[in-house]
Amino acid sequence: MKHMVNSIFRPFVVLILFMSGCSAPQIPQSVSETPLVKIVTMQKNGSFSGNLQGSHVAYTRDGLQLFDLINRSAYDLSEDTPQVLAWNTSGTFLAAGFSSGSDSCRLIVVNQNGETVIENIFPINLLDIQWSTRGDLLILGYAIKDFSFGSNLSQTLYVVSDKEHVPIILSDNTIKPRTAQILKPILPALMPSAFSAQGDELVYLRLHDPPEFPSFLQVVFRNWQVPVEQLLGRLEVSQTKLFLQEDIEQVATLDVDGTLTTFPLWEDASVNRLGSSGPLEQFSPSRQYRYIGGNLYHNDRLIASWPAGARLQFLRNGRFLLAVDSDIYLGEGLNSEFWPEYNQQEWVLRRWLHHGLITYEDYVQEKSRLLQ
Amino acid sequence: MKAERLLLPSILLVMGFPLLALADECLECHRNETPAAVRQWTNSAHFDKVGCDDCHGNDHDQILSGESSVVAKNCGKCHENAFHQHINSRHGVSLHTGWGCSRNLPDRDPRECRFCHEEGSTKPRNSVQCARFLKQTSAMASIGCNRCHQVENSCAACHTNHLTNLDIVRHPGVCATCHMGPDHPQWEMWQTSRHGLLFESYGDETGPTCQRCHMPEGTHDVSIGITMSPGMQLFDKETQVEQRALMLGICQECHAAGFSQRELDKADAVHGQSMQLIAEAKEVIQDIADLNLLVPSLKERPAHPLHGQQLVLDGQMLYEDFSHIERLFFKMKKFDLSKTVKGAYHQNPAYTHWYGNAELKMTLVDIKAEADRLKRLLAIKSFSETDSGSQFGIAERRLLMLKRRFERGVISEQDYNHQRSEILENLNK
Repeated sequence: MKHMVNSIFRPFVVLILFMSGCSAPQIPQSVSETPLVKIVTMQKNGSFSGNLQGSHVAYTRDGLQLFDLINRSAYDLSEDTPQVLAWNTSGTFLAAGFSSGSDSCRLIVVNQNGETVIENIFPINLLDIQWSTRGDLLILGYAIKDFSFGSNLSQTLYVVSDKEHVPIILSDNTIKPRTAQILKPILPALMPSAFSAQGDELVYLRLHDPPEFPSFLQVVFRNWQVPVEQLLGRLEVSQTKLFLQEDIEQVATLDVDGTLTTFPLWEDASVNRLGSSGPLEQFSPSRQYRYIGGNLYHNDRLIASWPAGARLQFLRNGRFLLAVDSDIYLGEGLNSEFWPEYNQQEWVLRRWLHHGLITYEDYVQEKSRLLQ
Repeated sequence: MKAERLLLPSILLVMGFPLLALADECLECHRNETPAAVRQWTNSAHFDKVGCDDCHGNDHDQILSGESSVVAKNCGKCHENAFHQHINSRHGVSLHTGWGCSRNLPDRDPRECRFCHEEGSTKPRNSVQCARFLKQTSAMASIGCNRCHQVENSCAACHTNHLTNLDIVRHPGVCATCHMGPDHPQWEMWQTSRHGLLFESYGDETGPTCQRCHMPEGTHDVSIGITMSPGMQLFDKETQVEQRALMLGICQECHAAGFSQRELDKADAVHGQSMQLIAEAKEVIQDIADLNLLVPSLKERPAHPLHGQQLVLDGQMLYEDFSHIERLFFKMKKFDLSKTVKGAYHQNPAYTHWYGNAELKMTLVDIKAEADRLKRLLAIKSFSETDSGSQFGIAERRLLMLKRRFERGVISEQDYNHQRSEILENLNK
């Protein structure tokens, strides 16, 4: 009889225990006394992006959604799932890029009310979208065209406005037919890029495939306003992650085997190195906070621990967005930090430095005057 | 005479001469179609040696389509020595200098492909590296360019088509077809010099012709005795000495060694002084370009067929889609310099001085005046811009100009560093 009761009730006990776990998920740990607030749920493995002010969050669920945290209203922006989302620094416009076939992508720019202000098709496979602090909208992509003698692989950066789209050719190389056949499926992973915080500079990898020689990746650094590029070094062809470490004027690359390679941005810059940091870490703008593998540190102190796959976005005024599985939470309580803003003098000095109009020494001197 | 003309073919026919049998096929029609050409051939040295198809081939359709013109290589089969002298001289590097495909070079300029290929095609569209030629319509290119520049590949350019009479190519008039006009009036400056006068008065026994000085003893190497490139850049020292010795040898047929040497030295000095004026003008225009004052700007004008959107002065300079100041430079370099320098070597005082040197200097005055006018416009423009952005704009233009001057070797590294520091200091005031 006892066995019978046990066998009858055991599944119910297990079910009740299971249901209690499902219906009341644990709110992730907060970094302050204020608990995290769940905002929305996105699709599994979806993407999200909040504006820095923390007033709006764009996320993917059955296409692209926009959630207004102040008015608690939601907008359906598109039935298509975007590849890249990017807010401008003042948080007023969201740019979303969608794939629209081979060598083609669609860009939309919407305002906070979900109204489309720019919509256009570009003849590239989208790699990244970035807003500069000055307000320039930049989209980066590649195109590959096959000919009898090989394939032409080009990388193009578009500077987009409501009036015109200025293309800047970052590369245009011929690759051998065999190379094209092998590498075509993984090209996006071979051509990572990283923009500076101001959005005026970028570092990217360019594929070279000379005849009779093995292919290689060229690490290129440039300011998109001037037609001069700095060739930082070569890498073997491999899926690579790229990190622009502006504070120490350095680029770090990490290949699939875990090999870390660093390249100084300027010949003279090495003398000004302040130290090194692990490139996989995600830093807050003033580098007070770093986030890696679910752990958030304030300087060297662990202040919160979340599941390893949790994704974090730092916002202004000590706020942040945290995505755990498909749920997006808003948190607060971090120290308020200085966010990069458009500084004309700094912007001009960097442009001059890239153009070779001033030396790195001139730049350092002028920048220190600027800070004074 | 008529009987004689008929006699020779008749004799050859009777002898069963195979060549004539082949030629007969053509002559059947061409006696009526192109009687003068046939007459020239029958009266030429080729008549008993070279038949129609030896030069023109057998494909009549191809001949009619104009695709089987008689090339120099064909003549070279028999005239081997003359052919080799010709192709190794400056007549042999006339227009068709080939472009090597650069697509596989690691640091290639991708824009280059379009000069030779249609999109997606590996077949070369052309093999020409002359910017002015590339800008022309095919009709203009055919008459205005190739009629002279075909000399590389066409003996007929000088010898005419069917005649072999050497009187034609020994007359200086054969050179005049091309070596005349504003860009290089060698014919006019020779004709109105003492040398030309002697030729007019006493013929080529006394009056030195183009051929007498530049093709001595009947050579086809027209580069003999020349010490500079067609763009008037001096060859290396060793070549200069070697070539000058050859030219002095030619002069000394009539003139004393000392006199010849002194006259050529004077012409060398005129060349050097004139090149200085050109260099000065180039600097003025480079500065204007650095200040982005050319109208239309380099970005606004159609791309240069060889060099793309950049300033091209000198060798491959165009005479369209450019600014007034560049137009003045074109005249100065292409016309005035040529008249001055070639006038001096050809011993023509009016060309050396009035048509040449005076124009060269007056055009430089015009170029400087135009540069001043453009700079004044910039000053007015800058004054009207009072926002802080314009300070950076002006400083950037000055830094850019300074850098380009340094790169061109106009200022020393010390001066460059000093002036750059000054600009940056002024920015902070």
